[in-house]
Amino acid sequence: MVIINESRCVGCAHCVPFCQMSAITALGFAKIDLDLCTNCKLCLNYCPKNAIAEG
Amino acid sequence: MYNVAIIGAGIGGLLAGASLAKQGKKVIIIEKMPYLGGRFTNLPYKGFQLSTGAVHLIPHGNRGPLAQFLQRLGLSVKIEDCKPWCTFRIRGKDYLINDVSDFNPIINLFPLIDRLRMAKILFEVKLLGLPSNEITLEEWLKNQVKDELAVKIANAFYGFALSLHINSIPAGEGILILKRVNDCKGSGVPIGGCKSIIDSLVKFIELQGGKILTKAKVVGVDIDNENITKLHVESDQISEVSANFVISDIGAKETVELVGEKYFDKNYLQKVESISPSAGVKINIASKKSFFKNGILFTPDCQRIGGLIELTTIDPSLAPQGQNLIISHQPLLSTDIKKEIEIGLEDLKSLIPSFDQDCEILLIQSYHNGWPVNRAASGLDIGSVTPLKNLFLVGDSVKEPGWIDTEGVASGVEQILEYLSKIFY
Repeated sequence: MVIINESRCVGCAHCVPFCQMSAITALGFAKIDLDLCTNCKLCLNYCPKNAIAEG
Repeated sequence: MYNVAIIGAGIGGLLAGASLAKQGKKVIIIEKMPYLGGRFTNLPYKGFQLSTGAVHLIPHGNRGPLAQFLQRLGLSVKIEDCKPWCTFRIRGKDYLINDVSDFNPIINLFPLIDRLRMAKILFEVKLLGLPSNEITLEEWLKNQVKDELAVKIANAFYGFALSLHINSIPAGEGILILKRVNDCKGSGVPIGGCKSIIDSLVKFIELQGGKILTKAKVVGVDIDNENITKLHVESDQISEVSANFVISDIGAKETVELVGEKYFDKNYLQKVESISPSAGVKINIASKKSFFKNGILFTPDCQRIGGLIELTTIDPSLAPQGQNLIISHQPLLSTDIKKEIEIGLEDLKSLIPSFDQDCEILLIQSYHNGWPVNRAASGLDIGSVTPLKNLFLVGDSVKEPGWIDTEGVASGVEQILEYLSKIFY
């Protein structure tokens, strides 16, 4: 499972376009819809703040 | 063994790398992310070219330090001027500024007494120089001009340009920035977005024999006699790099953290600690209708948004055919980011009454807390030279005073390279 560390996430939304399932939304903080997330973990690479991790 | 190792491939690191590679130096650039350009490149989304940070704008167009830097490298990046430069929407009416040296359409909105005071200020700045940096731009402005419209206009301009409220801009710095806007005569859009500049720099560096690594993270350094002797790297390709000089484009605080506080004197650590960033929110909007045809729109009557630009009026390639791309920017004035975004959206709805029918919000991006608009807010930058003999900084914590954002980064790189060229020979 992929989780967002809210204290690290700044809401820059870099991860959003890289999610092929459109599972991430960002409104101040990134949020992952776990029903849509396939756990591909691509987004982990695109976070400049290291705020996305495997949970 | 490299002549120069550069940590971070933001616009600062790449400008430095390109220039040094051109001089024949053996250069390696080490970037932790899978892409290059940091907060100055494109973020493709739903067929639009959004950006990782900077609105696709070069603050001083073809006449500023960034464009001049690229020209000296011989790179042909197309920067299209905003024509007119900008429009101010005040009390529902649009005032076009065609010529940066002619603000009369706006000045005429002020009572006679304030107009006389403005003429006096202009004269004084020319004759006596800039106001002090000891007072804020807000204090200084309120002392000079009584009509509160002045504060609103200033907050719109500086909010969009620097992502700062005028109560946190040193007066001298603020006026110097305005003077430079006047000298350089307006902004421009890099055709193809910020990435076109990054791509041409990357291509240039590689053609000159420079090496650029992505997904490579510098995790530590070896130090001997106040010199960095080795970089430890986590990557698929290499695990360590040795170089005569190290240039860091990851921010002053982050560099100190990487190297280790114990290698820096107390004075320097205090200086680094005093740097505070500028934070902001960018809202990316798609629309089939065109709303803003006249350059940057500054919005003094908005609660938060300082300005916006419909980029597709200058570069249609930034959106799918038949669509327009509008980007607004606002400084982050509180830590309640959700509320700040809500206020920004209220502002947009007041600027575009048919917002709900005609516009789609593509992406809302906030920048703060370690991934800010500028690592050092304007006026708080420190110098590029560090207490370590072969370590130098570039990027948005060491901008040259008086230049907006990327222009300050380019100008800072220019200065440190001049300094380095004296050490090299």
